[in-house]
Amino acid sequence: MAIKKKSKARSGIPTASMSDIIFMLLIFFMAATSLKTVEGLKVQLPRARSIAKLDTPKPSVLYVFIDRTGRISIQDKLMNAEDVSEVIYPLRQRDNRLTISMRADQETQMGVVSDVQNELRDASALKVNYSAKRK
Amino acid sequence: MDVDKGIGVILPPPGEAEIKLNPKNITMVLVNAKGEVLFGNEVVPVNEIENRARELEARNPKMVFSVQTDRKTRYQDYIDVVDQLTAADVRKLALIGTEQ
Repeated sequence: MAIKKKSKARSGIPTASMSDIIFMLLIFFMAATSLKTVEGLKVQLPRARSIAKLDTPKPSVLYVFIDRTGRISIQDKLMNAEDVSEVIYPLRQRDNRLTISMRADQETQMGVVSDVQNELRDASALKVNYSAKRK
Repeated sequence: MDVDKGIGVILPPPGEAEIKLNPKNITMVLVNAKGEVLFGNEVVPVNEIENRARELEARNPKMVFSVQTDRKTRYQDYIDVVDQLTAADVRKLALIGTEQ
């Protein structure tokens, strides 16, 4: 009489803990990902009352950062004031809706801001938005 | 998400050529390094600029407000002045920059 030995061991992978593992991965990636790394310099924006939302579509906005020590950063590159127009001119040629979002620190001295503005004028990028926080 | 807000301005076009303006139609607004404001010919507290500008513009709709600063003026002081002028619905705002 042939012994029919029925194996008790079940084949396949136990799936009961799968949801635990997936949740753990999900939480890990949520914690480790930031939506968009902040570009530019750390600035404390000035305060103003009569501020409006920037109406230019995002792709046409160029951020110009000036921190309180007078460093200038455009597209994550530090530069001197006199190089600003060279960088902006080709962008302005390609996009005539180009708007400069000026993100300068409230303690910045006007000398630097004015130098940058003159460079913007040279590059014909005349639409400027002074980024500010509501008072 | 942080929405980009601020004061929109249009810079004057490049070129040294001064547009010929009747001096009567220009109001100089000077901001010095201490944040004091010379509006026309008198020193005016910053929070009064809005009313002054409204008055002048009502009297003369062609009035151009020209803002000049010192190289050492704080950006916040400059923004305060531009803010006041924007609040007064000034249509002609010239940002000349720093005085030499």
